[in-house]
Amino acid sequence: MTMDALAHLLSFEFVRHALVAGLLASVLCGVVGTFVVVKRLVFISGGISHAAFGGLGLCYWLGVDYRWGASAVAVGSALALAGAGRDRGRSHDATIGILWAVGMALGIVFLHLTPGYAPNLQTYLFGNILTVTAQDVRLTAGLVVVLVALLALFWKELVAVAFDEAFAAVQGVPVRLALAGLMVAIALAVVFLIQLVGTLLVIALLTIPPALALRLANGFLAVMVTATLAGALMTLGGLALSYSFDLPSGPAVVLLGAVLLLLVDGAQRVRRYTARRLE
Amino acid sequence: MAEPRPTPLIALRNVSFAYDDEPILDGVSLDVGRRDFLAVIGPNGGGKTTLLKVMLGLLQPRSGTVVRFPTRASALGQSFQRAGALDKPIQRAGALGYVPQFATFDRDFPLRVREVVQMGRLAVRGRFARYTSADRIAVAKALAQLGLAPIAEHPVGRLSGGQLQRTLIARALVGEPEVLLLDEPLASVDAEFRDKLVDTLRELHATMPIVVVTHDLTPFAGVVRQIACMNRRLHYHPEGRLTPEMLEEVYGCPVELITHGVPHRVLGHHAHE
Repeated sequence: MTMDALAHLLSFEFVRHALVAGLLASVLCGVVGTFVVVKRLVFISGGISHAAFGGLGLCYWLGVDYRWGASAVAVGSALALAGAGRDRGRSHDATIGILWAVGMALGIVFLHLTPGYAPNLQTYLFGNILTVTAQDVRLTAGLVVVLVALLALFWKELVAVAFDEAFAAVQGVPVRLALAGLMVAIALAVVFLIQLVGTLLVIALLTIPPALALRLANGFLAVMVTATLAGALMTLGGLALSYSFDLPSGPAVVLLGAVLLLLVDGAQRVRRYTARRLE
Repeated sequence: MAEPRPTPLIALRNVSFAYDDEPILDGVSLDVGRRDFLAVIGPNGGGKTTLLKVMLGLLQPRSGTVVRFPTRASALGQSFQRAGALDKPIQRAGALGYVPQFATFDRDFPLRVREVVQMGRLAVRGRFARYTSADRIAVAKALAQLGLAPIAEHPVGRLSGGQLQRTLIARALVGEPEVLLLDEPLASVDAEFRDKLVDTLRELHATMPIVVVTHDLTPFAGVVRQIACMNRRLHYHPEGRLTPEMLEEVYGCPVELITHGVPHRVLGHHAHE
């Protein structure tokens, strides 16, 4: 791509919005995703994103902004799971799975019931970063600022809760409040990321960047920063691939991440193997 | 005439606890004194860990009272009478040094040994504050005390069982607790390291009371001062000696006792010896 072509691209407002949204999304990947991965909340996050689809469909049917319904359902199910998660020895695996499927089924029924022009189901399932508006960017920027500020303010408490809830509680940390806050952050991040990569692929943005970072960095903050950078590489690189090869943007972002993960894994295996041979 | 017992650090009175309809603790009363080395033993599922969690305030009892750190003798009586403030800890947060049994964290958790130990300063430092040089000094001291200085920068996910156990003890100590409560501290530790860990606890006992939950009393022979047998109900043995009859009462069946030689005899002789 020549510089002229790049300048031409950037003259389009929707391209600029997509780039900014991609960068904001990478902060969400880094900050929220790191907690999701180290605290093993991946399945719960998947459940939340699919449940949110039910709220999304309802809003479409009612003709209101989808974010209301998606956020309400996502936050509601996140808090319900946070509260239920306190029982001893119960994983709520089945509950999450049911939430997952029922949310999807409701969403599809509502979209089906919506009269007139059939909405493009694929946009919601796989996302379209090029539909991001200026208002989307502002809302997301607000979310990112609030999340990063809260994280900075309660850094040591949040890391302690993520690592060992019981010990944090003995140290006087309000663990339930911290967990509820974490779940709400996951829910809101999911709702925003749905627009970029869709309900089905959200989980990739919350898992691939932290997984990359865990292989490359040591220390909680270093992992978060690395995950953010990896997220930026994924979203912006995926966008470039989508443009260059005329691919849908969501899958392009996810597949680029998967390739990066394979490369890093492969390189580390080769390095360990040669290190053993040299011993 | 027996000396009057000094004010306990932790006092449980007629405490009951149940998960759903399954009673775990039934009318448990127990004092932890300021010089105690208390071992809580009992069968699996007998409520040992639950008892510890109730003492720590991690679980709220269905009925009964838990009082921690009454400052005066009279404070004990008063807070027992105040029904509303049933389980309000009277102590500063962090006065209880807790060493949990299972490390539940993900092996990939990106923290170094030093950062894990630093978590023990949470209560000392308080909300909204960053860790200070005082915290770093306390952490360095705890690391040195438990022989962790050489591996202070290692990722916590790659530690051996013994190293992890020492890390968790250092984390409990760094907050300058007034009592140390350990849940099965020897469970994931290899035999070679066992004696060292018991020695460490013996040294710590010079400065603070220790409560240890264990399914196996043998390694603690000679260190333990008091024994509590926990099997839904609690049987307390202030003299730190166990007889087969006591164990039979708790476990509900005859139990083979392994006795240690003098001078540190904890367990009584078999009748046929």
